[in-house]
Order: sequence, then structure tokens, then C-alpha cells
Amino acid sequence: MSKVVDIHNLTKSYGKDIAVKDVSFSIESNKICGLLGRNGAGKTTIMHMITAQLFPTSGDLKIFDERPYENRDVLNKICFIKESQKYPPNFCVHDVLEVAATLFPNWDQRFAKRLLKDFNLPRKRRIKKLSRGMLSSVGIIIGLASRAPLTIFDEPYLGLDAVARNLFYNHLIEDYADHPRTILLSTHLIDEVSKILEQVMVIDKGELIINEEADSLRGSAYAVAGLATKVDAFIQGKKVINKPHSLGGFTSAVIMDTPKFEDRKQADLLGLNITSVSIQELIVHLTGGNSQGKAVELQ
Amino acid sequence: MNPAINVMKMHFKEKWSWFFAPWIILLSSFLINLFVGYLTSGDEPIYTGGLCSIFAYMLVLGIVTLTHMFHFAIGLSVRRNDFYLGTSGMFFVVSAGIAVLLLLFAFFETTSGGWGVQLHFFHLPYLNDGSLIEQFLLYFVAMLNMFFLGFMVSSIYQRFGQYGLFVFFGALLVLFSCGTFLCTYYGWWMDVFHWIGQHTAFGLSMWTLPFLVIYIIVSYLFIRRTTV
Amino acid sequence: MNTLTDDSRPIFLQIAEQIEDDIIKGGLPEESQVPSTNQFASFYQINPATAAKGVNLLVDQGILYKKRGIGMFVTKGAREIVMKKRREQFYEQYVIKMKQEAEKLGITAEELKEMIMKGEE
Repeated sequence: MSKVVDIHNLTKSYGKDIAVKDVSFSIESNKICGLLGRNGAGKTTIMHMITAQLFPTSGDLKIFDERPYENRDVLNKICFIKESQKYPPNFCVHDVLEVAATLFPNWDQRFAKRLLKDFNLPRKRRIKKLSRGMLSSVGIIIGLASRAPLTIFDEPYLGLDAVARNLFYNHLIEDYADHPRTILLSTHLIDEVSKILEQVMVIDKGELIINEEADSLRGSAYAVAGLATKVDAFIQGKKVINKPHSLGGFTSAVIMDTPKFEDRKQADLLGLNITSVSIQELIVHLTGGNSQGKAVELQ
Repeated sequence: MNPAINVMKMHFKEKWSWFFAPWIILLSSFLINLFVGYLTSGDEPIYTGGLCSIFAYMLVLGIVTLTHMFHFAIGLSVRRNDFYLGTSGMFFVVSAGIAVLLLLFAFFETTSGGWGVQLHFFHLPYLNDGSLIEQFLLYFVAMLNMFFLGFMVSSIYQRFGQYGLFVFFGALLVLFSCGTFLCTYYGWWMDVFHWIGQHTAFGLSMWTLPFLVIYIIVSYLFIRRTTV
Repeated sequence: MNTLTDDSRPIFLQIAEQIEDDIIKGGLPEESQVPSTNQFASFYQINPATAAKGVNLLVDQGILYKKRGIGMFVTKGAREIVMKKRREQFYEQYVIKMKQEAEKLGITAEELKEMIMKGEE
């Protein structure tokens, strides 16, 4: 499979502030990937560099095997929908979609019309009169109807309720099934999207700490809880990524491993409780305050 | 379709800013003057600088269009080059259109004897002295100067932020002060006025061309490196 | 919309288990057509590639087979294969565990048997 995004040692710094630090990853074509992490971790900066809206301080970045900066062939294949996208305030929804239709070669007008209806957007309403959620819907419609070979959504649904978000997921999956393309999705609603993702990348403080297939992340960590002394005995020699709770003599620890039969047996003997950890929980543990996440090397 | 043409089409959708607002401003200024003309029943010829309003407006539009449209266009995967070309194309087309319209109004003004009340709004002495082509070029070039000056100022802001604008205007101020000081110190003022007086309005407008070229180049260079 | 509840296990395994369950319960009789991966994807709101992985797992085990250009079908004898597999899993997942727990609590094999009989009443 060919690589749609290929990034090597990408760094972006603003003076002393390093927003993105030595990040390398690649995305193969027609995959749905999640770029996850806390706010301000550097996700948006990376996406801006992929689309040549920001310039890297150092490192190499190839999109569809070419550099994206002022590259019409590459940019034509990218649609980047971001939370902070600005629209001309006097344009009405219809104008924005008409402009988008001229700019994206794969634009599907019928699909756009259907989405407009599903998301209940008033065609004639001016951009400056739209609510936050409606504005997000405009972005989502552009992102889906453009059918760009590389579609990037950066927190696309600010102000949208669960029903509208669900609508987005449904349309995304259905349209992706009919028209496979590479999708990069950044969000903090990890639980909602983790099932859609095939590849998961986690950015923490500008660094890439996880780049894994989503399904192999499921069940790749577990939590153990019980008496502090017993927990400490149990975690000897294991990869502990976080010790989130401590209450009196009780504590818990999250371990980066799939619990094996012996682990369960040992936990049983020590009177400890083993629970599974979802992708969202795992990422919270890895990127949370007292995490030792960076020490973890994933195979 | 050429992407630069698409950018022009995008600007065309902003009908209010490009086509309606400037003429509403200009024509309301005109109507007020016309009203005054009727009150004085056309006994005295009226000369007015109301025409300036459309030029001032276009300077502002040159500034605003970049802030409003640049982020939108770049966000939708438009190349900076194409945005620049399309926007410049829009400037040229609109400048030419305005120049033609202004000449038409000037024509009506002269044939109707100043709209029947000796009002000189569109056809002014000195400014409209030259041939038709000269008059057209005068308006055209003046309009382009406004657009691209606004565009350049805005591109400095987009590229370097408030600090950049501050430095730019600071430098301009210093340059201007030095110029006026030198003129006063060496007593060049008479020569300067003499030089200006020697030229027709058209001739002077041609002397702004080097500035126009500077605006065009500088705004291009900055837009190429502007980030979102 | 339907959801897979367990986010701590690979989804492709859960998809495979869902299909197996349907085969056991008779919802998917032998030689019947299985929904396409895209249908699975939109039904469970999951990535089509993941759904395909789950389906392919069952193809590898001879439970499903592919008719070119038409889709996936349940193999003849698939129910037997699934039942056998599930029985083995039942022994590993439940019986062994139960025996361990019973030992811990000092329940003899006899007592255990009695308990099971009681549960059937």
C-alpha cells in the first residue's frame, strides 16, 4: 500500500516553545486514523503542517509522495476541516458550499444536498448568523462531500449534540465504505470514535507516544486494584504506566500488557482486582498528569 | 477550471462588499450634493471631492478582503499563488469596471450641464483634462494603487502581526519626516510644487506606477510565506 | 444503531463472535448469505476494515466462505465447527475457573455436581 502521509522527524518550535518534537509517522492509503491527545498537545499544529498552512521548523514531510507547500496536485487532494476554520461572514451556507464545489475535484453535489438536509442547515442563512453547532455542520458537510483522497477533521463537532455527532459517524462510515479514502480524525471524544479508527496515534506534549493499530490497543493494558502493599508486590517487574488512585491503604495501577493466565492467578492470590482498560482510559493514563507514559515503548 | 479563476469567482460572491457598498456610498454622497445643487437652484457651480469616497473605500476593501478571504481559501486547500493571482485579477477587473463607470457618469455630467445644477461631481477640472484613454488610465491606476496598498498593508499584518504593522508605519513615518525635513532644510519645496504643477493629472498617476509595482511585489512575497 | 459493548477486546474478535452466535442460534442458517462488511460496519458503527478482519477470521476457520462477486456465505457444517469451538472455550473459560474457585472455597467435586443439578431444577 502506498503512503499518503509520510513524516520524518517533524519539529515545530516557536522560539523556545516546542509545539511538535521530532514526530515521525506514516499513514497508508484508505485508512481511518485517529490523532489523539490532550488539548494543546500539538495535534492541530501537525495537521496544519500536513496541509502546508504552517511551515515546519525542521524535518521532512511528504504527502502523496510530494511536498505539499504550494503544490497544487497535492493540495487538490486534501480537505482539511478544522474547528477554527474561518468563513467569509457575509456568505450564506449555500455560497460556501458552492465555492467548495469548485475547489474539490471529487465534490458530490447530491451528497452535499443530502447532508444539508440531514444536518438541518438553512441554505440561505448567513455564516455570521449561524450557531456554533451549525458552523461545525458546514465543515462536516464540506469534509464529507469533498471526498478528498486525504480528508482531515480536526475536532469537527464543537457545539454538536450526540444526535448530530452520530449522524456524522454514520455518514462517514457509509460513505467511506462506498468511497474509500484516507481519513485523519482528531478529537477528544475518544470513546465515540475509537471503533471507527483503524490506526491510533497519540500525541503528548508534542511527542508521538503511541502509533498502533486500534484493535491491538484494545486489551493491551489492564488495571489492578487492592491493598497498596499487595499492588506494589504485583507490579514488580511489570510495565506500570500510571498509578492513578490511592486511597488510604488501597491503590490501583495500570499495566501495559495483556493479562496472562499467570497474572490473573497471581492477582487472585494477592486478593487484587483486575479490570480491563478501554482505549480512552489507556490514553488518559498515558497522557495524564502523573503518567510515566513516555517510558513506555510499544512494540 | 483554473484555480485562480475559482478564487475570482469566490470574490464575486461577496457582491455586497465589491459591487453594492462602494456605489451606495458614492451615490448617496452624489445625491446629497445634487440636493444641495437644487437648493441653490444651480446659480453657483459646485465642486466636490465626493469622488474620493470610492477610492478610500477600495483601500479598506483591499485590507479587509485579505483577512476575510485568505483564511477561508487557504483552509479549503487553495494555493497561496492561486489566491494571490485570483485576488489580483479581481482587483484589475473591478478597477477597470469602476473606471469605465466613472467615465460614463462624467459623460452624463458634462452633457447634462452638471445634472442641470452645475454640479461637478464626476467630471472635475484638472482630473478630467486628458483624453478619454488618459482619463481611464488615471482612474484605473489610482484604483489599483488603493487596492494593492490595502492588500500590502494587510499582508504585512497577516505575515508579521501587529508588531509588523507597527514597524512598517514607524518606518514610513521616519521616512516621511526625513523627506519633509530635507525639503525644508534645502528649500526644495518650491521645486517640488513646481514639478507637480508641471504634470497633468494623468502624468502624475503614471508616476505612481513604481509604487504600485512595489505594492504588488511586496504583498506577493508576504502572502507566499503567510501561515494560518 | 447497535453497539458493541466491550472496548477492552479487539473488535474484529467481537464481530466474529457475533456471527458465530447468530450461526448457533439459527439466525444465520448454513448456506445463507452473511451481511457484507460494509453492512456490518454501518450497523455497529465500526471501521469496515475491522469488520472485514472479523469476517476473514471465520473464513480462515472454514465457518464462512466467499462466493466471488456475490458475498460471504455460511459453510455447510459451520454450526458443528462453531459448537465444537465454543464447547472447548466453555471448558477453558468457565469450568476450569469454576473448579479453581470451588477449590478456594473448599467445595468438593461432589458438592459442585450437586449444585449444578440444583441449578437445573
